[in-house]
Amino acid sequence: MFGWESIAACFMVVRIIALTSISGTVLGQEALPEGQSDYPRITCEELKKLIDSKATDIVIVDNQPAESFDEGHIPGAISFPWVDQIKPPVKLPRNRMLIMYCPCMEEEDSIDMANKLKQFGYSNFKMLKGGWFRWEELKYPVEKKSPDGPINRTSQQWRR
Amino acid sequence: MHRISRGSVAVIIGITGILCAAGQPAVSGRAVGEITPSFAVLDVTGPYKGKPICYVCEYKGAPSILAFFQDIGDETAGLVIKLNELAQQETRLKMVAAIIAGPERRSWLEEFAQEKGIKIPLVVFRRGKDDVAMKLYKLNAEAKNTLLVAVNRKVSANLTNVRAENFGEVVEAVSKVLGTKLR
Repeated sequence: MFGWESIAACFMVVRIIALTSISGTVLGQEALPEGQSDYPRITCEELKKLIDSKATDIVIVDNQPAESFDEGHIPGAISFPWVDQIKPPVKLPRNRMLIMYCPCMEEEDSIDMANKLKQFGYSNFKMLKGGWFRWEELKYPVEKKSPDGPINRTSQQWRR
Repeated sequence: MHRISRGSVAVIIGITGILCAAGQPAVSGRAVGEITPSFAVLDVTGPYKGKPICYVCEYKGAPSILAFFQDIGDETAGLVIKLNELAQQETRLKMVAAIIAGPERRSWLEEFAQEKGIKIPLVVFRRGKDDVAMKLYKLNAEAKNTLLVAVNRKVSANLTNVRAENFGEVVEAVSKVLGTKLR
């Protein structure tokens, strides 16, 4: 039969599991899962060529906050800011490659958004290597919000 | 009955308004529960020295302090030293100190970091007070500093106009997030 020692040991195990779970949540190990990070990359030079050739099988997705997007973004990009939780409906096209970029050194925010978009059935992604910083560094063309109103602003909605 | 002139009423309202405003703590920075969006700064003393960088993106969901200071000076220096000491106590804690005043403060920050052995990255807003981060982070140009404690890319504490005397509030907020008592 089980003795008091066995019951106490079981209680301790349950308590340790519960505490581990709580601390994991507090320190962000669960709320922001790592997910996939090895998405294929595309360089700014390659993307520039695609834009110049007026490629129609890609959509450039900007993950900066909307205010930053208004100040400057890659020509033709649509605004789809990083959020902690994507709210449906997501109206990004499903039949084109999504080229994602953010103002991050290692594409962190775009990778996180791609992982979240996978839950909505999206799977065709490429991450812009070096992101917005590299694009700026190369002094490639930049589009800004026109004084008359927003351009290409679709915030979680695609239209073209 | 005494009659009160319109001028007297205006003076009374004005004085009352000033007294009320003086008693109000400055409101600055994103509120508790709001997300911490990406924002680019110019790195002055961190690992990306001389380059634009988004530390919020790099820290992901890690417990962090985003410290915004209007300008350099003795008060800012004292608080940065305290923040640096706090960061040394706990490796899980990420931190960045941003000077809103802009890139012309670079040399002061470089000398200060070297002289005091500051390890946390010191950065500046690329466009000073006109930087988009002011709007993004709802920073009040009147506040001397705004310290946001964040975890999981959400603000868990907002402390404005922090002074050396009440720095304990920052320590307490960080300790709560980490589940460890810091000094």
